[in-house]
Amino acid sequence: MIAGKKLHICLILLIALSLIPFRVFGQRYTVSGYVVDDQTRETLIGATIYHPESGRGTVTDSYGYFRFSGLSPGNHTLILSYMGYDQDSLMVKLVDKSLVISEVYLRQSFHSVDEVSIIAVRPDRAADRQVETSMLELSPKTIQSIPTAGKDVFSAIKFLPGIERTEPFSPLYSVRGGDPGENAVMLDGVMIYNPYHSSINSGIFNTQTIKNVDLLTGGFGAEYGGRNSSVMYITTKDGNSTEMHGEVEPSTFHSKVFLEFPAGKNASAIVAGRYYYDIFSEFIYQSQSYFYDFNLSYTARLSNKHRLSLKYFQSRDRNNIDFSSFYQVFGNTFGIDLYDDFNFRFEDRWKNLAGTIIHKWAMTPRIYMRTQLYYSAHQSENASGVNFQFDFADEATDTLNFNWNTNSIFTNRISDLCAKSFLNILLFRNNNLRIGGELNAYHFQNTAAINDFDQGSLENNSMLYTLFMEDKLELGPLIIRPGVRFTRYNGKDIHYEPRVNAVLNFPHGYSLKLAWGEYYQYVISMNTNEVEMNQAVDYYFPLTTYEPSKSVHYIAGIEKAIGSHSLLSLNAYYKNIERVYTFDINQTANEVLMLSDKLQQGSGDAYGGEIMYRGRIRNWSGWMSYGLAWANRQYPMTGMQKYPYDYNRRHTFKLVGNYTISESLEYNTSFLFMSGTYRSIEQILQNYYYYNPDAEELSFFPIWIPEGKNTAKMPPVMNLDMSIRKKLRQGFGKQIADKFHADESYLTVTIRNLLFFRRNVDYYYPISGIPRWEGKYLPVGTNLFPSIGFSYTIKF
Amino acid sequence: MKKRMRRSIYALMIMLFLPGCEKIVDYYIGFPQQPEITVEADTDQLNVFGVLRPDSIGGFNKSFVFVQRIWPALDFSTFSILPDVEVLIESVGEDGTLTAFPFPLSPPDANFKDTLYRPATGFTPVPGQHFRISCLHSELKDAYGELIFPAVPALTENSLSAAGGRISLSLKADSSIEMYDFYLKNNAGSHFIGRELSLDNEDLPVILYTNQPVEGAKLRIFAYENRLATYIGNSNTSLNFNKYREGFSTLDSGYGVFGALNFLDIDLGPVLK
Repeated sequence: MIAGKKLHICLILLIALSLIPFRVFGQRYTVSGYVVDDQTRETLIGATIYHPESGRGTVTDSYGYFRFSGLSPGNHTLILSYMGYDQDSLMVKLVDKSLVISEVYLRQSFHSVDEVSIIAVRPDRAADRQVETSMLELSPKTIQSIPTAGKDVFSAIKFLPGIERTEPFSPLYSVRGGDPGENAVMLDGVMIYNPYHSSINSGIFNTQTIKNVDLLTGGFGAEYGGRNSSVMYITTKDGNSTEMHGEVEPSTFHSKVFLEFPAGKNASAIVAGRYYYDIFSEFIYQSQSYFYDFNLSYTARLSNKHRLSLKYFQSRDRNNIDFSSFYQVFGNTFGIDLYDDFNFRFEDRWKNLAGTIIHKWAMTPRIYMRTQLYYSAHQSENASGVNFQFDFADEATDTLNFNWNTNSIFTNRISDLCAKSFLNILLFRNNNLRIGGELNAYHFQNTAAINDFDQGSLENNSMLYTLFMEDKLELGPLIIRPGVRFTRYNGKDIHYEPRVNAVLNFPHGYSLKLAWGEYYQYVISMNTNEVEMNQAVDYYFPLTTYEPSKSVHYIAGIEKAIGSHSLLSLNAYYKNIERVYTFDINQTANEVLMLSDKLQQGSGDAYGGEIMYRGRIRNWSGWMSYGLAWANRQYPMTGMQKYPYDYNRRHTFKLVGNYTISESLEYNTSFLFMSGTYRSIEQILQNYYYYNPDAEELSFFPIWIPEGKNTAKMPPVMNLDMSIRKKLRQGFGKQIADKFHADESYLTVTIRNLLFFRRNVDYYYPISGIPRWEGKYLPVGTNLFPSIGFSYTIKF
Repeated sequence: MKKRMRRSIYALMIMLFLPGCEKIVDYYIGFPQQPEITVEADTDQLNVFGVLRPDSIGGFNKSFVFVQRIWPALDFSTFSILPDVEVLIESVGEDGTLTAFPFPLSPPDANFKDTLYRPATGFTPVPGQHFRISCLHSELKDAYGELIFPAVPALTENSLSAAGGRISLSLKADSSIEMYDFYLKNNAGSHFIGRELSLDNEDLPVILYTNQPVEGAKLRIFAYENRLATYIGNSNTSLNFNKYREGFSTLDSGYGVFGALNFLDIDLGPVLK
């Protein structure tokens, strides 16, 4: 009953807000259209449109589309600007109706400081993007400027505040104390499941195809749902519709190619691909590990009002590491028979596929519609196993034989067929209503086996229906955007998720931002990191017989624009994780038969603050941030005792800097300092016994056990990486580029892990017998050596 | 300008390299390279692996108890059996009367190759019998457990067939049995060919596949009672460090297991179909 009352209040408020401006304001006209690059015809996201006469402005949305309303009949001049582009003006004459302009062109400025700046700070007012309280943006330029990110989106985002890495060798990430499975990754509106490559621990998206990355780390609007923690929205390029351009980056292990070209009248296409082969594994382990991915894109500008895009994406991974042959060669070489019965292997096989058709329709200057149909599928099979026997009993009859036999196989398939559409209706110049719906048809298949024990399986088809509406209202310095999202999963109860974002702008560039929202999630990720050494994928699992997981976000932030190129922001957040799930994977089939019975419902919270300065000072650009965070969980399996969340880091300092030395030379650096996470460090040694009743053989394996969950803190982590990028003007590299009639060629030298003298501890091994570490845990980290990498890029 | 830039980069690098030195960081700045552990573990406990079984050799029952202790993770000294433990198995009668069977520490002999706590003659567990174990040590906490000895596995009538590499059978429901293991024994040796969990109050249909010839072979079916089956099934021995896992125990106090098994031998020769 209370929920019903809340719903009614929410709806009445929303409808009332959407109607007020109709009554208050009278007849005015609207100008709308796309802002595009004059050379490539690529739409520009976040370009500013300013009307000097009224002092008002707007920016293009994530589709490069703008609508400027409230203009009186007559002649008007609109000033268009975008970072790295020459400012331009647009003259419009409004007589008796609103106007849809097909495209407005901006020309790239050459050699400006803006062009090389890695940060685009646009403290514009009156834009949807500015209503979001916790929104971070990354451009391909920014991603490429982080030396250790290796041009990978998922490595780059870990340099942003509130986003933390999970396991040492996993691409998964945690946002503001949320589970890794609570992050949505959308590629042009398509939900991508497990967008990672296993071989190099990175993302599957080729940065050459990316136009923009928006990351919403909390308090996001009603348009987005299905995940409780964050939304990463990646927009890919449409392609150059005037002439062919491309980029080739050949290397020993990892080659990339990117081509964009006109594909008929008013149409463009992109073909891009990457291939990686791990030669190191081939030689050392005689194991084959590789991946490939490719993107295809076709965009047609059908008319002033209609655009149609077809996009296809596919990736495949095989990561097969068999240490057995390596250790046997090692044993034979040094005459050690210890490894004769040693088998140790990992094998991952992953596949991703996504295809979509998108129709964008500027129905009237005030109404914009986007309709999309997509199919997205992921499949992963991860197996690992160790089998090792050693005979102690020859020496002493009171000691058993040593026997370690462990293995796990997890498989997961998910497919998502989705149809969705939204209408963006400009009710008046200060009131924008967005209303939309979505239908998802899912198919799941999960299996799990640990130590030859079947842990149960699941096959499920389910449907999710979603409707959302949100209304953005501008009342002078106040912008408020209430919204609500209705969801119904598998024919069960309808849930509604009310959300509100508000921005209050003050003089001198200050603004106060607030957000509150409720979030439900029906598809969760099965955690296996208690069993798998390195959980590198989400195993998607439908909550068909359980209530959806639920979080409530409370966020308050202050922003201060410093000049026109810098922004200082301070955010405080509290996330009430009312309902969250974990798998007690240690429960055996003797205890629970179904995989779904291993699910345990718990709760938690996460709170903290983030301060971030981003911008440009002379030739320096970049950002630095400090985060202070707490996150906790409690589950029945740990006696409902509250414990620190696995990936919470109390203090984090992150810095990314770019120094443009000259037009052809730039220097990049990144630095991380992070408090240690809480872990379950082993304090007890208990032998586990294997008994073969037929052969009457008893053997053992030592297992180290922690006393409680996350009762120990790891030491802090520090990382420093640098790179220099030089545009080649002469020499061999330039000559190769000239042979291909390329416009530009670059050489990038990256030095990683400059603080290698201090080991970043990934694991503690309770192993004795090493004199220096007697009575201590042996710290093991991967940053033992610095590395230097070279890459050569040709652009044409 | 470039000179100044170069100098400042050098200075920055020196500043950053210095804290890279592990000792400086450990002792002067205060980032220890050891974990900060907040909870003390109780390690004064016994770790028991006790299995009762029905068969004997040379007049001695093959049941045994292997006892070690739990060690602090960084301070263990031996993997050998723990001597000086008083191991006592008691049979609990329906009226509560106790019959004691001491299990003294016994060195290897012609019948047994390991040093184990084993019964003297006269110990013959039977299905349905209720047993208790107590392991007492002067410096470590006592360990206790109990079990109901499982039944001999029983085939459903006319359910057995074996041909090629396929063996099909059905096992009668029995509440004292939690799990079955299947071994095929032929001239080439003994081969583990399958494991099944029992069903609640239902006969268990089983189909086993093997690449071993089944003609003339024997099938041995082991039946485990609940506690031993749970111990075997709960073996998170994964290659994983610094992750939460609980100690293995199906005892009432202490670590380890006190379990039992029974078995059935079937000659596959005459049942070929």
